[in-house]
Amino acid sequence: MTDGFPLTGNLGNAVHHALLQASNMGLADDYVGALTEAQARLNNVKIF
Amino acid sequence: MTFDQIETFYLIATLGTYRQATERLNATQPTLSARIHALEDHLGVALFNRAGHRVALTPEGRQFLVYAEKLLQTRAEALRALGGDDDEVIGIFRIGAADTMAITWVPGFLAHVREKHPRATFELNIAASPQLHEELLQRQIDIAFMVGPDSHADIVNIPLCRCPMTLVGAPTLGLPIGKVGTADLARHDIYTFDRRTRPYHQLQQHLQGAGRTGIRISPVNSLQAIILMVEKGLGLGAVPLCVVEDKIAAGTLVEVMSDIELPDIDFSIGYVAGPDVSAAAAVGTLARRYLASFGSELKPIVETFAANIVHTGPVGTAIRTKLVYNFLAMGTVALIAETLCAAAASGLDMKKFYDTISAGGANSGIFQRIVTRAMETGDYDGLMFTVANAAMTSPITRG
Repeated sequence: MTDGFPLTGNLGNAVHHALLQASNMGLADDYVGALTEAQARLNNVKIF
Repeated sequence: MTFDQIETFYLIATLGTYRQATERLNATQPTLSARIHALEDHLGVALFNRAGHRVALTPEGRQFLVYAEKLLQTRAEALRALGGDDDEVIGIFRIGAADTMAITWVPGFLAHVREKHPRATFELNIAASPQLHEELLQRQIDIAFMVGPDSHADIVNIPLCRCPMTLVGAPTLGLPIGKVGTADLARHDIYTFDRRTRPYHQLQQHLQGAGRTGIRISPVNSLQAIILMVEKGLGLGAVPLCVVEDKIAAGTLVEVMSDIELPDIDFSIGYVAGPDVSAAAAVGTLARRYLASFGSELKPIVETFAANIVHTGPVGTAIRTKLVYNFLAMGTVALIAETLCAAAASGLDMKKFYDTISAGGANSGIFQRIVTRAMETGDYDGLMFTVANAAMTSPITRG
């Protein structure tokens, strides 16, 4: 979304990438908190 | 000599036909003929040369028209000064509305104006602004809510509202993430207002000026048809944001990011100047007040399902606010995900880490909603917004 502004920013692409990555991992229909689950799976870490 | 006779004379003289005057005054033609004959008898001169359906003023008629206008104007001023109800609308009153106005606030306004002026019958004519301009000048409508201001000397203009334009497409079009370049835009028709309108010309001039001759503009004379076609993926739409913001919020349309400049559209109230403008002025004032109070009238309804209500500004501002808000929310969620992963990978006690964050400046509503629930139940359902929805709106839409 921030790509649409005439601004320099670093986080827009990163956030979008995180969302696409979780979506590609089969979490598209889960709520956004599932980004944590995606991160845990990617790093083979047990969080809770 | 009565004011009914003078008003009848004035309307026939300015409208050019008895038929239009009968519609305007909601009276029969014999009634109007009788009034004119009585007036001519009283003045001792013929006021009209009658030829077919149209009538033409005699030299005496032209002379009397000047006085008739002054007399009617003086009557209106006197009634206003003495508190008389000269502003009440009686009979048939014809409202012209541009598409954008007609499919947003005008239906609600019609109900409002009918309640305020129960002795009037309001007719609605939806057309493009250039056509409304012609209809005003021909006295086929009494007032127009149209793209403005109208530069014709006879038309009174009152600013009404401003609508930002936006470029939208169906999510199924599969447009590239981020800013869409000329080559990708050129693969789709851009549907917009018909070629007589100001937004069409502004878009065309911008594309020509930018040397983007490969991008096709397809004018359509119905805004609702444009929205339907764009929703079906037939092309992109250059449309006012206010007519598609609910569809953007629902995810059936997405805003498309590009370098195309789409100037905001200003809308005005327009009516023909003259001594008989009190009804048009009254309806115009009511329209402005109605739009100004739109938010406050909706507030009791919104309060039934929303705890925090903020009036963010003109039409289109709320959806932009929502999109920027989403960026902050999704950024926070992504940061929380990596933070929790880093904490776990560092071997921290997650309960103590949670307590530390909860007590510190990094705490947030989103942290509490997601992490508190995850610790209690093991799921991540604390913030009910799906990954797919967030992924869809984050790259293509823009505030």
